[in-house]
Formats: sequence, structure tokens, C-alpha cells
Amino acid sequence: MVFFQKVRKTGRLSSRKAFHAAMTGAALLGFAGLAWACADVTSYPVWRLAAPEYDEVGRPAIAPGNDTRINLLWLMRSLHPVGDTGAAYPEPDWATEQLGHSFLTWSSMRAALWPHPQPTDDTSARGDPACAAPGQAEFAAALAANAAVPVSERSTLLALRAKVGCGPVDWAVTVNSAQGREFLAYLKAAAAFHAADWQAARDGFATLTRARDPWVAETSAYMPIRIALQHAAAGATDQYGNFDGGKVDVGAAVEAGRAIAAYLKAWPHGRYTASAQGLTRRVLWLRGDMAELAHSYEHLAATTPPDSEAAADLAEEIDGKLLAEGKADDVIRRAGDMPLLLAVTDMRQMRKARSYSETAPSTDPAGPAKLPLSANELAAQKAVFGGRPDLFAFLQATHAYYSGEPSASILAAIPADTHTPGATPLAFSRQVLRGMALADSRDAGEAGFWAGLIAAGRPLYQRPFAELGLAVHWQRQDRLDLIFAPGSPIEDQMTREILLQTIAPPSILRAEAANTGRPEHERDIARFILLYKSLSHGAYADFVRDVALVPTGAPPGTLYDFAGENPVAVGLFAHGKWSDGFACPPLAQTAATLARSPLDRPARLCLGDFWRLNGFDTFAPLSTARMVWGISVGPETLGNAPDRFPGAPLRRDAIYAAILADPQATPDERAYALYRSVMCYAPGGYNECAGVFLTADAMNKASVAKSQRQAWFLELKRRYPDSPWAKTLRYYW
Amino acid sequence: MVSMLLAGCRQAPPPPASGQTVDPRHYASFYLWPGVSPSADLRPKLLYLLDGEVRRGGPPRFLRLRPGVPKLSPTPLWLVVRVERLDWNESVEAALIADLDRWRMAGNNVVGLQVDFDAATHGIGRYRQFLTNLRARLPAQWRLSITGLMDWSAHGDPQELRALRSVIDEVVIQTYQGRQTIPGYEAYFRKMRGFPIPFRVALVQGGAWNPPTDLAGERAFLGYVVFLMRTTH
Repeated sequence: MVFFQKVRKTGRLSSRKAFHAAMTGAALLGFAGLAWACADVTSYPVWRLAAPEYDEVGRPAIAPGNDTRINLLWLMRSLHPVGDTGAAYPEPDWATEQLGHSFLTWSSMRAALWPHPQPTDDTSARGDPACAAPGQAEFAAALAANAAVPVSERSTLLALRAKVGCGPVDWAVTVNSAQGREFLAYLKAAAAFHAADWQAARDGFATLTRARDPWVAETSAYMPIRIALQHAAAGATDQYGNFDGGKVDVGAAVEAGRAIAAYLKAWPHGRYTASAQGLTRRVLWLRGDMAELAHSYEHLAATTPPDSEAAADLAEEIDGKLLAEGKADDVIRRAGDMPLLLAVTDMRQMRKARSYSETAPSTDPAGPAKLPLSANELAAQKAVFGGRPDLFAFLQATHAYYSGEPSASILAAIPADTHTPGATPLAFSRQVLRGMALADSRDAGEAGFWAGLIAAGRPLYQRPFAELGLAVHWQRQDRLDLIFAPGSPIEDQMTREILLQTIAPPSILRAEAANTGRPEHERDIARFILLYKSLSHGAYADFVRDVALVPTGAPPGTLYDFAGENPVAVGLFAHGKWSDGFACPPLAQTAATLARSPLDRPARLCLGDFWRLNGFDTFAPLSTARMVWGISVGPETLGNAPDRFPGAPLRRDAIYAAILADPQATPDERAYALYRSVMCYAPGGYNECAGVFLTADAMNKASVAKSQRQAWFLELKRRYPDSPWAKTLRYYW
Repeated sequence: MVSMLLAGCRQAPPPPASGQTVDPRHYASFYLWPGVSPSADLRPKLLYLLDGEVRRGGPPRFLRLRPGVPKLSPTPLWLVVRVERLDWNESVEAALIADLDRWRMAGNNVVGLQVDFDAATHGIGRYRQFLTNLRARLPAQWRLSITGLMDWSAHGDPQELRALRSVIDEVVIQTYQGRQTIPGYEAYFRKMRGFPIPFRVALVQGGAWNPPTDLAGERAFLGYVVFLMRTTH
């Protein structure tokens, strides 16, 4: 939510509002709604260290809830330690803006470790060729390297090549040179391949394996592999068009294996050697030979340089082709010699299953649970991890933590090691787990432990995650002052902004607003929350003084996405709308009146109009509610602690109720309060002046009976028929 | 016209009991991502099948994710494309139109194309322009559907809505993020009274759902679509 001001220019159509709620709980409607949604790609982690269940994201520490690809890549980068040279946080986008630097998705992890320039987003870029079959450059290079093909034939052949694989090809061309005809025959065989005419393709390439052109000859020796693989999978789909392993043409898959062996024998150092070796895995996959496939993956995961992007491709392939299969876990366990794959499947087996219910929240998912993998089953794997006792100890300690075992066993299994800078992901994961156990046991050394880990952690992801550990610790100790003290180790902007929105007292908000050492967005959050809560919690005198914190020239902005906006709408308090009928002075004057006499009726009505006219009815900052997405979260969640801003928020409907209950209200005041009370229910028939709701139940409870709404309407019409409000109002809802 | 054409797909799902989670067996329309098939106890009457994506990165191209052509006649079928960018070129459109044709040639009852796009960073005006262009290039036999948000009627510009109405045939409003129903959806749907475009409501398998009181009475409401969950990573 914090950083994506860099990428989003418009506020009104901001993206995913719901992440606010997900981070610490709740007031979803406060951020208005979703924008254009797509189906299933955005994820919202709970802001805590523990990851007991799959939530589509990952953390810098290996954990059961992490995306398996992330766990696997962290493990690969631990067994062969590599640095983070060249890595950088990617520009946040709508899918990652809610993750800060403490969480990551698989794609943001790839983008961080292997940055690629973003494409320009230019709608004018139309008119590309309708078909761009791959391999054209290689064909052109081979043609150019062959002096025996006349120049005129080259252009003819290149034009044909551009059409092969894209639709019908007109073969009525003149190519007379001997080697030119080889290229022509190659194209005809390739066209047969693209047209799924397997036999014609096989025959065509077979005649070319002894071609004079070396590229044609070698490519023609390689193509039988591709033909057989395509042939094997061509019919292997079900009625939904999904892959159906039961329909693979096994004969063709076997043939592909033979073709690979033949090519590698003939061309042990050829231009397609790596490709042919890789396709061996595709043969295994098509044949359903999961044991061999797993074996091959284990070997590759242990030997692929983990700082090469090939490591990410491999993790993706392993996840998609092996781990997605239900029986993969059994195959890997039975093999008994695949520590890397076993570790990631063990992690997955330590996830707690999720139950969904909005009305009956499940128990705290961070709490103890019976995990699918038993402690005995895990203990029996010791020999597999013989070479990596650190990994095995970590697995056992992870199991102990998520099963709710006493912290002592975890602390004994994982000694403190926060003094080695640049820890591997595994070493860092071990220490994070130790920190979580220290927190659970309320260990006196916890703060010092996190401080050490923060100092030693890698800057990229590790440090912010360790900061989260210390921030939650200090939150539990009610020591927000330490978090926001000058020189505090809690530097992560998202972590700080969450606390500013949820539980920070006025003194901290004021100091942060003035803190020139922090980013302007963070200071704006502090300014906004300070002014907003001063008004809503009745600290009017403070508001009158603190409104001077609004930067000169700050535009009113919009509340639509609140913390996702840039700038934050702090300008609303200086340049918002004050009045649209009922005469109200500027907000500062209203607040000054309320500071002198908090029950001043016109000033209260004007405060209500300020809320209404500037979108505050459907706004709430992050709350400390204990429910996130229908599950309850505990005090180990950032921002989930008592709000240290004194007082309670005043809702707009309460203002009108107070005026109506006040016998000294003037007819004009009473008429306006009646009108506004009725309008609270327009047009949906539910109370839009009572804040935001998470459940239909809460929404219903906040509504008065329809008879009451009717009574307001009738009183306005009958008692004050001449008031402009009675004349305006035609219905009640 | 549109609602008549789609009337055959319309369904009246039995409302789940209060506080229950979405059980696909109570529904008949489904979103299927590649690799996901309905279990044997489901009787699909309308399907939204993701065919592929147009991703960010590199030149715009259609990345087909579904290995084969479905063969689901007579079930009405939408071909869904997930979109991360709007700078399409002719090859993207040609690939999509070719797949619509391939699906139809395989005997499927293809209704049209659904664009699943998060317009967040682009703005609704630009998205409308994109859809207008797409509609103009899409052969008239195909309907055009989009996925959408829950708060158009609350925050969308009504002018934009009216303009979209002439461009798209339906919108499927999604009520979930990730694997969970977004809390507060009842309030959203109360605000959707009088929504001017034929719409369906997409629910996520296993997510919470208590049918909002007035939803079934909405004139433009065509029924539910349940997103069947893929496996985890």
C-alpha cells in the first residue's frame, strides 16, 4: 500500500483495496470497493511471522505456508550460498503493493532476483506481423552462413520461413541450387510438423540428416525428438482441454526417448544438446515415470547454479510437473535419497488445513494443530538429511512450532546465531523460527535477539522481516515509543505505516508528521491519522493546533484507496468541502467552536457534513479488529493491539440522534437532523452513517427499524413543512 | 436481446444456508482455469474456461495455457483471456479469434470472449476505449463479457457505465481475492441496486457466501458462477 504511488497515477480507480483489511483486520468498506477485479491472483498475507497455511505468497524465511517454489528456491540458494548482487525490490504493482518488503510472490521474487526492464505500455504499438513463428533467426543465420545458396533463393526461402507454422504456404517457388533445395525440403518438413502431420514430418527430416548444410543436417537429426513429443501429447487432453496423462501416446513417448539418445550420440556437443537433455524430463513426464522424474529434478536442484535464472525456471517446472501431482510426496518419501525435494514436500505437509466461515471464525490458525506430517514420520527421515543436519533440525523445529510444542525444544534445536552477516535463507529461516519461539516463551532476550538479526540480515527482504519480529515484540510490550524513537531499527516503511494507522498515540503521530528523516508518504499517513482521529475522537483543540501540519498546497485528494493514494488525502482537512446547503464555515472554524463547546449543535452538524461530503462515511483506517478474512488473528499480528489514541470514534448518526434528543435544538437544527437521519438510509435502506461493516449481521444491527425512519420522515413533513429539508425530501428508505 | 440469448444459461441456485461456504454442488456455472476440471458430482450448465493470458513483459502476445481444445457441446462456453496489458496487436486478436473458431469447430457452443482484466492502473476510460476497439474487431457472432468489481454503482462514473453498456454484453462481478470471499460483500450488493448491465456474480469455492437479500430480484442479475480452486503451489 505504501510504495505503489510510484506506479499508480490515478487515485479514483485504484486497485485492490482489500489488502488494508487483510493486513491487520478489517474495515474493508472503509476503503471503498474493489476496482476491476481479476480472478485469482492477488493475495493478502496476515502481517505476522508465522505462516501456518498456504496463502499464495511467501516470506524471506522458509515456512509451511510459503509458495513451494519460493521455499525450493530459498533452499537451493542455501545449499549453494549465493549473494544478492544485482537483486533489487521490484516496482510494486497491483498484485504486490500490499506486500511491502516483508512478503513476496513467486513472480515478485523472480523479478527481485533477476530484474528485467518493464515493457512500455503503449497502445499505439499495433501492426506487428500477424504471425511470428519462433526459430526464424536461426534459420536466417544458417542460410546466411551458406555461400552455396544464391542470394535470390535466400530471400525466397526466408519469405517462406516466415509463413511456415502460420497457415497455408504457397510452395510454388523457384529454388534450384542443391543446398537451397535442402533448405526448401527442411521448410516442407517443418510445415508438416506444424500441421501435426507426424509421418510426413518424420520422413521429411529423415532425408535431411545427411544434408550438406551442417545446420540443416543437425536440426533434422534433432527434430524427431520434437515430433515424437508433440505426437505423444497431441491427443492427451480431456473434454475440458486439460492434459490427460492417461491418453498419452506411449509409443511416441518411447520413440522420443530413443530419438534423444540417437541425437546425443551423434551430436554429443551439438547446438541442441542441452535442449535434448532437458527433453528427457518431458519424456519421463509423458510416460508418467514420476520416480525417475523426481530423481532427475533432485539432481538438477542440487546442481543448477542458484544465482542463474535457470534455477527459477527449474523451481517452476518442478512445482508444475512433479509437485502438483498428488502422489509426488509419496514418491519422494519412498525414494529416500532426495533431501531437497523431501524438505519442500515436508514443508507443504506441515500446512494447517483451512476452514472458511464468516460467521464462525476458525480458531487462530497460528495456534497448535495436528499436522498432516507426524513427528514420527519426520524423525524417520533423518538419514535422508544426513548431509544437512542444519536442514533436518530446522524441519523438526518447524514441526514442533506449528504443532504447538513447547518452545524449549525449538530453542534447544536451533542455537542463536545472529552474528553472521549475510546469512543464507536457511540460516535466516532457522533464526526467525528461534525468534518466534523466544516470543512464544516471552523470553527476556527476545528484543536483543531481533536487534541482532536485523543487523545481520541481508538488506533484501531479510531485514524487513526481522524488523517485523521486533516490531510485533515491542507492540506486545506496549512500547511503540521504541519503534518510532530516533535511530530505531524499525525502518521498513510499510511496517511503520501499518502501526501509524492502527494503534499509534497522538504523540507518535505528531512526531512522525514532523520527522524529516522519513518519506513524505509515511509522514502524510501520520498527519492524516492524527487529524482524522482528533476529529473523530473529539480532540478538537488538538485538531485546531495540528491542522497547521497540512503541507501548504496539499490537494484535497481522495480517500478512495487511502494509504494507497499519493499523495495521501491530508489536504482534505484544509481544502475539503464544508457545506452543500446547511450553512457551515471552514472546518478549522467548526473545530475551533467544538474545542470551546463540544456540544455546539450547528458545529456538530457541520462536522457531520464534513464527514459526509468528503467520503468519511465509508472510510475507516486500519482497525485492530481480530478478524481477517473470517479467521481470527492473535496479538502476534502487526497492528493488532489496543489503539493508543484516546477516546472512541463518533459516528454521524450519533450526531443526529444527539440533536434530536436535545430539547433546546432550534427548529432549523432539528429539521436538518431529521432530514439527515432519514438520508442516512438512502438509497439502500441500510445505515450509511454508522461506519463500515464486515458482516450482514453488524450491518443490520446498526440500522434502526423502518418505523423509526418513517417517524423521522413524518415529523419532518408535518412539523417543519416550510423547511427546505422537508421540501426536498420525498421518500424515506 | 442479450438477456434473451443468455436466458438459457440463467439459473436460480438454491441459496446456501446462512453462514455456509460455497459448495459447488449447489451451482451450475463454473470458472475453470487450465488444469482444473469439475468433479464428477457437478453438472455444469455454463462454463467460463480460461484459454490463456496476455502478460506484461516483452511484446504483447497471447500465451495459450490450455493444452487442448475443449469438447463440451452442448454446454454454453465462454473463452476467457486473462489480461495484464491493453497494448494488444493484431496477432493477439487473431490468436483469440482463431481459438474462438477452433472451439466452435470442435462442436462447442461458444458464447463469446470474456476479458479478465484489472483496470486499476489504467483507468476505466482507457479500458472502455480498449473494449470498444475490441468489440469492433471481434466478429459479431461472439458476445463480449468482462470481469468486474463490486463497486461500480458506488464509485463508478455512471456515464462510463452507460458507455460500457453498449460495448459489452455482460459483466461477471467477482467477490473474492485469492481464496477468500471479500468481507462486506452484502453491503456492496445493496449498493448495486439497479445495476444497468446484465451481470453474474462469481463466488469462490469454499468461500463464505450469504446471498444478499435483494440480489435475486435484480433485473440484470443472471446468476452465479463458481470459481473452482486449482491446487496450491
